[in-house]
Amino acid sequence: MGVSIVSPEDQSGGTGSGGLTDAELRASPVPVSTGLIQPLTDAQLRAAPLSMMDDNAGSFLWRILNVLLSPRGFDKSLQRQRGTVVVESGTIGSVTFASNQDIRTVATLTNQTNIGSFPADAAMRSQNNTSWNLNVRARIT
Amino acid sequence: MANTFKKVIDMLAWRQVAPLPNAHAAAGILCADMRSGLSRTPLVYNLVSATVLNRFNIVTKASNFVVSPALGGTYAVGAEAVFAPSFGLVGTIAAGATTTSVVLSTALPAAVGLNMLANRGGAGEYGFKIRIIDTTAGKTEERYIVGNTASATPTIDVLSAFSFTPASGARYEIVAGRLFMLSAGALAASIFRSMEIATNFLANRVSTNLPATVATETSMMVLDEQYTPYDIFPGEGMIEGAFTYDTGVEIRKALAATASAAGTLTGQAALGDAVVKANEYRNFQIRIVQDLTAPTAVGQRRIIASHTAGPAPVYTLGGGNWTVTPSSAAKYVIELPNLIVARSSATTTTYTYNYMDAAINNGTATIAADAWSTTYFGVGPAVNAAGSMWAPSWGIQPDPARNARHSHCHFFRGTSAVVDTLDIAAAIAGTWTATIVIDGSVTTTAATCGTYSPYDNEGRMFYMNIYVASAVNQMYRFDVKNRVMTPFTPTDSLQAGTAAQGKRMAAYCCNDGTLQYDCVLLQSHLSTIAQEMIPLV
Repeated sequence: MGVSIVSPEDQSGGTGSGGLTDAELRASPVPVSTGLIQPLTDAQLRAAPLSMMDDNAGSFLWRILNVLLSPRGFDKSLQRQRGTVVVESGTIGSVTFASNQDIRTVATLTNQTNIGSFPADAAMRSQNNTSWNLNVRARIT
Repeated sequence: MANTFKKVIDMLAWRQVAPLPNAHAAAGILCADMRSGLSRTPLVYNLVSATVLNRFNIVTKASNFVVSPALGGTYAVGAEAVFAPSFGLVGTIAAGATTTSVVLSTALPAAVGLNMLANRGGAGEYGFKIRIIDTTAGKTEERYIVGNTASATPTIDVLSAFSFTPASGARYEIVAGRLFMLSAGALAASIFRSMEIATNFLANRVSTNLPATVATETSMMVLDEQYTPYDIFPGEGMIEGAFTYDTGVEIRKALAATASAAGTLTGQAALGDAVVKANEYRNFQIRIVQDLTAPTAVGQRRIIASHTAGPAPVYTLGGGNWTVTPSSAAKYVIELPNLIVARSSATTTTYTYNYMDAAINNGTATIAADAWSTTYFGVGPAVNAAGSMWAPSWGIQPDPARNARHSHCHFFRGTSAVVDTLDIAAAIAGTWTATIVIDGSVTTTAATCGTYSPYDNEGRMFYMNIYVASAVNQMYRFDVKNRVMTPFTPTDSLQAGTAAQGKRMAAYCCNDGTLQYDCVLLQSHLSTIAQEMIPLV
C-alpha cells in the first residue's frame, strides 16, 4: 500500500485569495515543501497535479503500523500474546493452564487452599487424625 | 496409663484439633485446671487480649468466646493467667438441708440459672463439686451437684447423700475454681482480675505490692490445695492416708492424728506421714477434715511453720494456736497452701498472692486474704527474662531418700539455659538455689512456653516448646523429679514466624475410669492451629 502526499499548493488551492500571475510566478519561483525544490510553472502545476509517491517512507510507516497491530509474539488466531515469561516481581492475578499440563518443580508452595473439592486444611487435619488413630489411639487399651 | 505402646518401635504423634478462634499473638495465654480426678474443670481458658477470653472444651475439642475480661493496664507481653480451683464460692448454708440438698445462705456473686451448676461444660460429665464442712457433725464431705434452683441463694441437690444432715451455718465451698488474669503495664484498678467459673463472675483483685509497672514477662504458679500427686485424689493432700473420711463418687482418704495440742498436731507413727523428713512440708497447709470428738475443729486450715521428722511427726502451726484444738482422733490432710507465686521480669522479687478468704500466716509472715506479699518467699537469684516458666513438683511421689520433694519449684529463668529452684519448705521464706544442675539443658528462647502435666508418667513431666522459627525439633520435656531434659516428639505442622511471646501450652487430665492420662495442648506459634499430645511413654 502506498501513501499519497499532496503538495501545500494543492492544500491551499481554492481557499486562498486567488492565483498568481504568470509573471509573478516566474519572477519568484515557489519552493515546494516535499524536499524537492522544483520551480514549476503555473501551467505545469495546473495541467498535471503531481502525485508524490515515496516508496521508502511508505514502507517504513507500513512496518510501524504492522508492529503496532501485530506485536512480536502475538498470536492472531488466539488474539493473545504468546511467549516465555520470566516474572521478576509483582502479582499474577490468575493463570489458566491447558489441560494435563505438568508443573515440574515448585520450590515453595505457601498455601494450597483446596485439594479437589476438599478444603486442604480439613484434608490435612483428617490425615493427621487418621495417623494418630493408627499409631497412638490404637495402643491405648 | 494402660497401653500397648512398644518403646522404640512405636512413635508418639501430635493430634490436630479444631483451630482456636484467635491466632496466637504476643501475650496470648492458655491455662487449665490442673486437678486430676473427675472434678477438674473440662475447659482450657484462652486469654487473647484485654477483651477476649475464649475457652476450649477438652471433651468436645471445640472453642467458644466466653466474655470480655475487661482488663485494665496495657495488655501486652507481661500478661499472665492461671487457674486456681479453690475458694471461688464460699459461705454458709441456711436451715432446711437434707442429706441430698442444701440451701445456700451466703449469696453467690451472681444468680445462677436453673440447673446451671449441674453441668461443668464437659459433655456428659458431672456437675460442679460442693464441699460441706459441718462443725456439728465434725465432717467434711464433697458431692457433685445434679440440680439447682435459679437463684443467687439456690437450693442445691447432690448426686449421692451426705452421711449427715448438714446443719444451718455449715460452711459450703463450691470448688469450681477461678481464673486469675493479670494484664501488663502500669498498675490500674482492673489490671488483676478473677473470673469465677461456675457463675462466670468477674471481679477486680488487689494489685498492691505488684510492680508499679508489670514488665514484659510474668510467670505465675498456682499452689492449690486441690493439686495433688498423680496417684492421689484432690482432697487427699500430698500424702495419702488410710482413713476414709468421704465416700462419694470418689473415695477420699486422710491421715490420722495421734496427738494434738494448742499449737501442734502429731502425725502417724506408721505409714502415711511417718516417713516425712524434718520440715519437708513446711509452708504447706494442714487441714482438719474430720473430728468426731471435737467436731468444731473441723475445717480449720493452718500453715505448717515447722515439723519434726517421722514417725509421729509433730507439726507446729504458723500464726499461733488452733482456734479449736483438734482431738487426738482428728483426721487431717497436708496440702499445698493456696498461693499464687509469681516472678516478673526486671526484678528478683518473688510475689506471693493469697487467694483464700482468710489470712495466711506461717509464723513469720502474714498475707491477708486477696493480697500480695513481696517478702513471704525470698528474692530469686537473678532477674528473669522472656520465656520464663515455673515447673513445680507437686505431682510426683518423692524418691525413698526424699531427694526430690513436693516443695521443689523449678523456675526456667527465661532466654537462657538456667534453671533455678525455689524450695518453699527449705526455710520459712523458702530457699532459692541458683542454676541447678540438670542433664540436657537447652537454651530457651523468648517465645518459649511450657506446661506441667502431672497426671501420668508419675507426675514427672513438664512439657515445653522452645520456639525456634521453622525448626523441626523444638519440643522438649523436663523431668522435674530427676532433673533431666529430653527432646520430645516434634509437631507435624512446622511453626514459624518472628518470635512472639505467649503461654501457648496447657495440660489437663484425661480420666478413663480409674486411669489417668496426660493430655497436652499446644497452640502453634502465630497461628490458630492447635494440637494435642497424649504421651504414652
